[in-house]
Amino acid sequence: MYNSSLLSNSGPSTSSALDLAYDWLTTCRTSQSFHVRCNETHLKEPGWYPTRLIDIGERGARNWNLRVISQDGKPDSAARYMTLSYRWGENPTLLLLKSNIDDLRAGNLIHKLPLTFRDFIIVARRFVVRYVWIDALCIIQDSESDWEAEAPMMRYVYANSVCNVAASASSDPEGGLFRERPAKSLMPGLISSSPFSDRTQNYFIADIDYWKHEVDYGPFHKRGWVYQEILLAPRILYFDQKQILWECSAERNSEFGFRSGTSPAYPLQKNQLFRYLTASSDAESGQMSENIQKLWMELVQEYSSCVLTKPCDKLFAFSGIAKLFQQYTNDVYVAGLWKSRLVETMDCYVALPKPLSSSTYRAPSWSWAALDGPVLRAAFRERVYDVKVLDLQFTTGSDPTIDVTDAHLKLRARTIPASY
Amino acid sequence: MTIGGCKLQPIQWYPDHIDATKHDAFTVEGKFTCMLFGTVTPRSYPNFPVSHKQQLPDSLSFFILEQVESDPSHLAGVRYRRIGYLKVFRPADIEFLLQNLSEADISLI
Repeated sequence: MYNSSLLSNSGPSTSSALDLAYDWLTTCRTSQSFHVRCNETHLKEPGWYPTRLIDIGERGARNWNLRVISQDGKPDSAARYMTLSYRWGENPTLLLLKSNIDDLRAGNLIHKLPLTFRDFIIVARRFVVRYVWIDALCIIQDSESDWEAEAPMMRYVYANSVCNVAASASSDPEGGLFRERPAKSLMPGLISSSPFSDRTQNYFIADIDYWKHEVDYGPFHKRGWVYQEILLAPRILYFDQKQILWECSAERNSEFGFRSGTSPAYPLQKNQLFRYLTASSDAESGQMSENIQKLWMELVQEYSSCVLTKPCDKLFAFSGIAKLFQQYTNDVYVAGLWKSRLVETMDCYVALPKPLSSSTYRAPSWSWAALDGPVLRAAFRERVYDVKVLDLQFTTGSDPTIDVTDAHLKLRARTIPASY
Repeated sequence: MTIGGCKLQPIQWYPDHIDATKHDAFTVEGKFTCMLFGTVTPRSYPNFPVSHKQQLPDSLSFFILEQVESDPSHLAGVRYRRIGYLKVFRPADIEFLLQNLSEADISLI
């Protein structure tokens, strides 16, 4: 059903638009039936907090400060936090560095933050959430060891947030969340017609593919790091060019679009992710089930078409998803593949090859993670594998989901020489 | 592409990378090894008698491998690196390849 009561909005910065977003959040958090999956603790770790958070204070406070949990203590047990997905742009101006940790802990003026961060604080305060997490300010950007410690935490950072705000219309932190929009241009067309009876009725003409072309296949979703942020967060509030949009584990909603009863189809992969993983008994068997393996390959295929500024981040930016699968399957992660489904998860190819962008080793040649271009998974038709795994050896750093130093695989197979 | 001494065309082959030093040149050049990776089994036709031809797989997929000249691990034996993927669909090619494959233990890095 089209939500005509919202047509008077002039832009999502208005309090009524944020009120609507808050309604979505409240409904999602309090509905025990329809939104049961959004509130499940399966994917979350109750009481878990990131290493650092940004304390934005009470409503009206002019300062923010960095809260380092190990030094400043955990927030009180009821405290919640929100996360931000955004594009870094070319030259981010404000970063957490080894040299400014103490300054940022002491407190800083909110009005000196980049516009997207300031707008994010406005949203968090409307949501009555006192803490926020922004990667540029919560990971020490000139410390390799901090980066290596924090990057694998993304699975928990996003899964435990109340809501992830996505600055999907901005190309950098100065782009902000809010947009001036003439409401008239957003209103769906209205026609009067009597196609089925003598009685004339009004019909709205709405763009039912809006989600698809503006969100799912939009440039924001093509960012490699954003991929897992969106997949792992329980709720996402998008600030699009034209409207605000809501996505949780139960539904999608939009400011000038559809209510839940006729919301566009929820993304298949995300739906399957929750359904398959939470119903899985793989953890006991140690063998990844076929439907989870297929889901993994779907995610790999989607993720591989995303753009990473640094190709060496290939495994890092997917490690949160790997950790989630690992938790529910107890399988062994091998450079983007799973030991119990090694052959199946090797089965992909590159449709549009690119030059290898880096000579730095990040994965063995038989893993999709070694490839720069988008990969296509093999079709899930009646497939028989003709290779037998004889031996697998691999060495990883402290976190096997991000750091593979070498890997060898011995196969018994049938071969034939060829030339080109 | 010549496989097992026979020129097979058309086939679908997918190099993993293109050679950055040669404009538009695929990395799959020279001599290499095709390793049969998987087959797609024929669609079943329950009401039709199955002929010899229909017993063939619908397609074969291969990893294209090149021998690694210097293996940083210094482990003994020949090592290979995957450089591409190949699909074969034509029944005559499938039949030829299945008859000419030989089993080997392959070490991949």
